[in-house]
Amino acid sequence: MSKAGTFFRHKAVKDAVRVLAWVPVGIFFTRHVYSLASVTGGSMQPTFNPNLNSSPLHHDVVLLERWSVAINRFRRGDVVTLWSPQNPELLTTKRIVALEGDLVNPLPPSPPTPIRIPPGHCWVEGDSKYQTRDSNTYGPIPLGLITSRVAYILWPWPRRGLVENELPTKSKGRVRTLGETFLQSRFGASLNND
Amino acid sequence: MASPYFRLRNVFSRYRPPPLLPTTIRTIQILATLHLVSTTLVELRICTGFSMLPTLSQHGDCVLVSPLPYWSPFSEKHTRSNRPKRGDVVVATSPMDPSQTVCKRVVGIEGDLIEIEPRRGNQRKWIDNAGVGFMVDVPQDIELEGHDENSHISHEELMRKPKRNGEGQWVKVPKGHVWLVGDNLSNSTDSRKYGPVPIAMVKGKVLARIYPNPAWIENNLRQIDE
Repeated sequence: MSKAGTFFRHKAVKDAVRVLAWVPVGIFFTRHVYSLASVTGGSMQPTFNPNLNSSPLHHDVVLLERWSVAINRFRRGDVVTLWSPQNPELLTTKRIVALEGDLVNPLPPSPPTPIRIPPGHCWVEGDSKYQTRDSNTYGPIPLGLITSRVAYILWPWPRRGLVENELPTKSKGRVRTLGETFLQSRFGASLNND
Repeated sequence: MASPYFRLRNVFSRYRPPPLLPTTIRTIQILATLHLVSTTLVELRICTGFSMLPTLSQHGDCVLVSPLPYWSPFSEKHTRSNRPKRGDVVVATSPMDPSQTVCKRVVGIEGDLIEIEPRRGNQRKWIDNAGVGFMVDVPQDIELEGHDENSHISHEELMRKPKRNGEGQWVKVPKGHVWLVGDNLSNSTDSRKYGPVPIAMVKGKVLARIYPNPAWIENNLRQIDE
């Protein structure tokens, strides 16, 4: 019997291999299925960290749903995490406001001409009513920067629950989707119900 | 009764399919390990398309891709010291379609001033006519007609020549972005079309070509002294 063969016959080594074989499975799960994260900062303020002024060190703990990004499912109103386009070390949380082909009226930091979102890009904004560093600053971002969807608030126990897929008031009415404009041109403005 | 037929029947009657659950678990573990190695250490990939033509062929070259050159132990992503450099061939998520990746060369890093369209001269087009390909000049609307060798071409006449998209336009690569361009300028969808690409989209560096004539991919950008 060779040396390696006897080495792998020890019970302790066998147990170690049996445990270590699960490590890549766990890493795959946290990278592509679900993982936990904590949210700092106030750019998504009514949704995450609503009372940041009274408790500045507070972090919300959230559940990230990664499989929906792995299958390229992006919807308007989803809260997502993305690598900041200006700083590749910084992971930020924003809400998707518009997808490719939509017409967006941007807010102050960018010029007020409507922008058509190019293919494979989206328009993200923070929920906070104050200015945040979002697409109004850096323009439409590629969908490849998005790493996960924020699905559930886990930690402050009273606020636990699903993160709702709903645009904040400041983002409503500034986006015209391709389908909407097509239907409006077809059936008049009666479809417009907001 | 020791005929080969009976021996064979004995073998088949003794065969039991492997237990289902342990096999599935082993398969999952092996696949997850392979995935972990391919996303963190090295990966063999097939690169097709015309855009890198002198370096990689359009028929699909097998190349060695690794995210390790841009990896640093103290943060999850790139730090300032090991970001993509000018001349690296990188694999990045396509800005036009998040489910696809592109293989391009980094030509500019943050802060560089770059002309969007560096090509000059007549616009030419590749015509594929029943399998026979050849280049033709794109007919130009304005011919500089009626002038002989020794007459002066005015600046306005030169300006009236049709320009390529982005010719003479200069952009500054913003913070945290790189400028990706294919080696085959005449047939490549790259930063000239979709603009600078965030560094977080860069997935790895192409180290070597493995399958047809293996070779290291070298940095073929030339430094010009001032």
